[in-house]
Amino acid sequence: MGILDRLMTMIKAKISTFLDRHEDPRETLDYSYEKQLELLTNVKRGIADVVTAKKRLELQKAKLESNIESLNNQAREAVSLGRDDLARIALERKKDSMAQIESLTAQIADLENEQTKLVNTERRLSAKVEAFRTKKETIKAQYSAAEAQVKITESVTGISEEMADVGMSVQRAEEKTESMKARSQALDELIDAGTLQDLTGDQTKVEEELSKIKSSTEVDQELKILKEEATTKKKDKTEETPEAQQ
Amino acid sequence: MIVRILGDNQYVLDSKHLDKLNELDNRMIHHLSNEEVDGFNSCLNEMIHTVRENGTPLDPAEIRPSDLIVPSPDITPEEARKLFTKDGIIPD
Repeated sequence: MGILDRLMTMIKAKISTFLDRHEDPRETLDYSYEKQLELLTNVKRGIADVVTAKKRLELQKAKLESNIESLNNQAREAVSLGRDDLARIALERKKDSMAQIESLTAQIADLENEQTKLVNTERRLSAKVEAFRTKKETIKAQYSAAEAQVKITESVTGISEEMADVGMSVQRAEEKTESMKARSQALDELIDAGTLQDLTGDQTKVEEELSKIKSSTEVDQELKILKEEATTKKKDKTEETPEAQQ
Repeated sequence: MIVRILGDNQYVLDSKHLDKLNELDNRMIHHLSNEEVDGFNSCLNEMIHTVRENGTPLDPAEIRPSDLIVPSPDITPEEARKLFTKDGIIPD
């Protein structure tokens, strides 16, 4: 059995369970319509979920990007203080952050794509639901029970196929969103708790060390200034002395 | 005939393309059982392309059942395999 046959069998099976649900075919019409509206709400919720997940990833990306900025500064500072070892740590962290950013960019694009698909799905389903609603009323009003049966089977079969398709799309989007949510949560934890801080976690250490060096350099410099002042004063005194002798 | 591409749209397509679609379907199953991802994807792309290029999209307000259902353009081999395993039907 091929994929095409398999898909057709699966969808037909779904539709026939649906059609068998009600004795009175007119009830099938109303029930189907109810289900269509539910599905439409689901699609809308699906879109909102995808958008939320995407925003979250974008936030993380921005966070990591600002991380890179400060890691760059730290590396530069470390080099100027002659501490290549610290500069190396900062640069390694920067590299890890960049890899994360790259993967986030791909995930964001993926969700963007999912969003576009769902928006199109919603548009298409809305049109079909509206068409179904009109048809449903016509069938109810104009046909005898026997005639209606045929018409109902026809239109319910058509719309059920659409619904099965949309249902699958929503489910796939949900699965994708869920898995990205899980991953982004893990990433959040890494960023916050500082393992991306093997990257930024030790960042505090690099910062500490840098500021230690900085402050000791400052002390050295101040000391130097004081020494210079002292020498100048001595010199002044020796210069003053001959004047006093005059 | 009417062909549905899952997650995409329904198309009105001349039935002369049916043989080609069936042949691509057979090749996809072959690639699937040999775990050839590239081959699977290229057949899938060709299948989607055949429908989109030769068919015209059905008016969204028309409610009609399809004669043929084609998988979603981004279906993965794993997902395709799942179609069969779910109900215990495994391709040869």
